Amino acid sequence: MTETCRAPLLIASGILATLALASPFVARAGDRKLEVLLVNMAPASAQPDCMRDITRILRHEDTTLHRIGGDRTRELAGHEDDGLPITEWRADDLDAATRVVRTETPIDTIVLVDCRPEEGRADVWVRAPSRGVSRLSLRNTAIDTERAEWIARMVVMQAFVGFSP
Amino acid sequence: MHRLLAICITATLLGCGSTDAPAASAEPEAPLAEAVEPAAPTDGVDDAIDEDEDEDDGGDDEGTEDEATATAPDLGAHEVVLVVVHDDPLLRSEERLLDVVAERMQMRRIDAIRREATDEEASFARTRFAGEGRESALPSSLTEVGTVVFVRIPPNRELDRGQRATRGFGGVIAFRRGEREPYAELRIDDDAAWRGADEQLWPWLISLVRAARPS
Repeated sequence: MTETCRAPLLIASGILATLALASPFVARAGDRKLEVLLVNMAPASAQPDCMRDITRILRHEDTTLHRIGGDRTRELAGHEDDGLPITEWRADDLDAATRVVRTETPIDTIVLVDCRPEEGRADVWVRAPSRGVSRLSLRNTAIDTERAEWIARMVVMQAFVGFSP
Repeated sequence: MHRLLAICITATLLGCGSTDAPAASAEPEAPLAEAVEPAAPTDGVDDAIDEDEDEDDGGDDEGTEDEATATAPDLGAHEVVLVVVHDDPLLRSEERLLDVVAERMQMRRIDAIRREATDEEASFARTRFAGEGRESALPSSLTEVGTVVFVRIPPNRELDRGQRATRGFGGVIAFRRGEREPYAELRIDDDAAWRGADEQLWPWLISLVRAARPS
């Protein structure tokens, strides 16, 4: 390679290297958003404040939320009549639910929330992209905004496990 | 993506400018893989995962259990008893994690003590973490103490050359003093273990403990 060819190449390389180092891009799960299926499993389609709090926090993460009804989810999971608490559900039970949700990219994470502040209880079930499941139960505990945010923090942590966009 | 593209173009140009550097075009692949792999939403988590990958040969951890159980502290004098349940010897990163949790609790005026589970306690906790044994009672060693928080550390991941890496945090089961049923229970499958940063775990656990206090 001639000297006349090398000089411009070196200059161009320097500029590109500088651009690369100065780029604001931060390595994180950000090539696309996490696709989350969030289901309110409260009885009679109630909309408790804690569910709204959890939804609000999830929206602020790198997520796209999708929703279907709790009754429909029970039906798809095959638990419409057995009364099995969601904390006892298996990872595979929700495969059918992910197929009925129309999304451009597949659902990564499923979050089921059965929040009953009037009873001082909450159950949450999270299937992460790794297909591992986390099950949280609270009993005899005030489910106020602070507690709902605490639940949401757990959901956010678990929702991204194994996510590689 | 812009950054990766620039790196690739730079490396290609450098490879073009020198005929005696055939490996230059292959080098950018390593940072590429690292850049797109993060599995959690914050930078702090990435740091923790890197740290956790500091494999451990296990030799340095010998004696940890003996040290923890050498004395029999008065558990009843403490507000919180953190009972650690684990199958493999704790890795250094796991020890650090638990140290940070206990230390931060003290800083937040929560009188907590951390200790290893006895055989009976570990058996009880493992059954509960498996989602079974709901009828079994809390071991007598823990019935007269403050808030009891079982903390589970799942089995390590086996790496090459006999090295091990942590899976993270495997859940908690918490009982208020004198209560038979837990007020909080988080059961996490091993392949979903919480590998978040200490900075995310300890506030979460402190909030868990505060939930045990009368409102």
